[in-house]
Amino acid sequence: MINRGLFTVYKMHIKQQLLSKAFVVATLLMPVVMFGIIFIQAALMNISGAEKSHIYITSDDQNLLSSIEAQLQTRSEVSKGIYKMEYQLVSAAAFDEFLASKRADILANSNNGLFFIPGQALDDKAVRFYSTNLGNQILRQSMSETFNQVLNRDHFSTLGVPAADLEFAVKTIDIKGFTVSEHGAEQGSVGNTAVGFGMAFLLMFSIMGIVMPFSAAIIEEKTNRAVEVLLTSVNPKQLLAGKIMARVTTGVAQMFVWLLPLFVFVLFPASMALPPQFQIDLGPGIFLFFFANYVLGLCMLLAIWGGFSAMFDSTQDANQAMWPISMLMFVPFYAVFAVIRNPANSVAEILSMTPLTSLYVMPVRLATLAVPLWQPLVALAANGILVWLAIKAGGKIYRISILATGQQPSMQQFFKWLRQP
Amino acid sequence: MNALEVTNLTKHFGTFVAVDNVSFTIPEGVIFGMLGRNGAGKTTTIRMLMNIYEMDAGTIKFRGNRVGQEFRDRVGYLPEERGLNTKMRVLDTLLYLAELKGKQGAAVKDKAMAFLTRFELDTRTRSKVQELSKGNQQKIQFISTILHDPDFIILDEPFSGLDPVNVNLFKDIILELKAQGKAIIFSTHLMEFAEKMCDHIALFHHGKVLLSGALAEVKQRFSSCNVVLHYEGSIEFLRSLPYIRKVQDYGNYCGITIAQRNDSQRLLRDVLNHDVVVHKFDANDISLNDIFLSQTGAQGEAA
Repeated sequence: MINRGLFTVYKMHIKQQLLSKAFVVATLLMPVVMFGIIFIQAALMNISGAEKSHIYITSDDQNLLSSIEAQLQTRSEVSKGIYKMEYQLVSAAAFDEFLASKRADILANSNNGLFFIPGQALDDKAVRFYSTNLGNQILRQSMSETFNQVLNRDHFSTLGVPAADLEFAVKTIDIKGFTVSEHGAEQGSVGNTAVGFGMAFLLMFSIMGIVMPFSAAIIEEKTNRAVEVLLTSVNPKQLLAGKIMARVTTGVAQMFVWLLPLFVFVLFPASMALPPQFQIDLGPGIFLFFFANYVLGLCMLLAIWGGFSAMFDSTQDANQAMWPISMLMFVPFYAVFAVIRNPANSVAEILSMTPLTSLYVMPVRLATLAVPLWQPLVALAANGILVWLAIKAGGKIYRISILATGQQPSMQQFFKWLRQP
Repeated sequence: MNALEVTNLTKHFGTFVAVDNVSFTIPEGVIFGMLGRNGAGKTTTIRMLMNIYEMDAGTIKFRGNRVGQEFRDRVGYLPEERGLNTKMRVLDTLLYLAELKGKQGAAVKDKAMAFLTRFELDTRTRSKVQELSKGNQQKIQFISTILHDPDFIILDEPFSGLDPVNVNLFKDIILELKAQGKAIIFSTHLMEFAEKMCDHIALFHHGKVLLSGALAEVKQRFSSCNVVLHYEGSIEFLRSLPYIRKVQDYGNYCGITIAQRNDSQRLLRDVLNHDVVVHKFDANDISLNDIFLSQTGAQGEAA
């Protein structure tokens, strides 16, 4: 199958792809975009947490109110003046009248609020929150933490529990993870998990960037009739194969550039002094699997895209008809979230060997777990079989439909073409 | 020796028979006119020759051997619907299409530049194809058809959309290629060009070949009892003359079918007696257009 014609098509397309401005921009820009998204998200969270608010803390218990005030003064939001606090002793009977007096101020700013912590809360931890914006989770969570600490401390102190024991009781637990392997146990790190998820995201971005424009390229060549001239020199399968090979090479080159910093780090771990909990410990196996599976995934999706796109005379028609097929690209990515809580659960294990979902899930599992060798091999074999079927079907549809113009293809026609020898 | 032998070629699209048991031969070094109306089966036949469409039945032999990759490498094809990758640069396009045919290197580049100069496009080598006018794009397509020095050239409606100057340039190059001994298929529904340029013809109609062979023989076969008259004046009176069978009038040129060969003398006398100015009077001659119309029964389109 690999002959002069195929190689010439490959050579021309690889030159067109690798030297294009789009490739250079996408390759250099994507890491910037990724880090930009993370930065913007962090900045947004920071900004949203720092919203100025006027907060009333009320209680019918003076001791409890004083304890809460003392605890809140230790909060940075209060000391920086972001939260303007006002404390007021209010009996339960006078609360409605007090609330009415503050209503105008609460209505004036949706970030303002009023908390009522009755003395009864020392027994039932029931606290009331008054605001126009009950969805202000940042304020609720921040106050909830403080109130819980104060209520625990005051409740147990009345029972005669020593202060040191009380501090122990309110302290949150810290579970340090150690990864057990045949060589022993080492302190665990979130570095590998982060890399696993990062690789899954990169895979998704890359597949989208490489596969989706393929449709427009195929349709353009069909509609400007250039394909008729090309088919006098190469057969349709060679033409499609040359295009797919060029795009796969482009994708691998792009992914290599993106992962280059990681390679450097893995080869020279001392080059980056990371704290133990962020250390990255990955072998070459995960990269071999990642690239092998990436190549298979691209081949599969490009063959399907190439075949289907050849059936249409316009990009608009193709996009409308192909959205269900686009799900082949997007839905498997969401399988990654199945491994967030436990990469070793049985659902994650099955998804990591299922064609398409394995593209994203297996790298995450390989990064975070000692996965038995047979599992990545099964994933590769399953994807390999699907690639073979996709190339066979996509190549056939491409061959038959690339010169068929002027008619809207139907499912009936698609299956008829698929059955043709 | 024949360059190409096509035997019993057939192609169906569903129940529609696009090409029906077509046979013809093309000798070496001739211009072969593939003639017929739009939809007659010419382009489908060409696409089967080029293996773009798979034939349902029949054989195609190039110099005695069934056509394969070797034939495809040695053929130059100018399709009816021009097709170039419009985002590629002019010189890159030419070199890419030549390389697909197995030709690359400095010699091909030099030859491409020579053609571009001849077509006055040597300053546009770095331009993208889409930046060129339609006529200039057609020149690029034509150069790509012949750049790899093919032995066999297929030109499907090569002059459509060209201005007269460029038609002349194309025509000159086609005749040069013929002089180099290359076999050329010239597909057209324009009989005037076919009559001037072709040595052999095949007349397609509804997917069949109605007649084929050397143009001179075909004309001889149909020219008996025919007169071609180039004139000024009114020739309406001809239709009432008893020895006139048929008149195909085109204003200042007409084809006339007479009852017997020696009626041509009477015809000339009658024409002169009616004060018609005679510019040319060819007895026992017939235009390809008249043959086409008489065989297909068509009016108008091929005229």
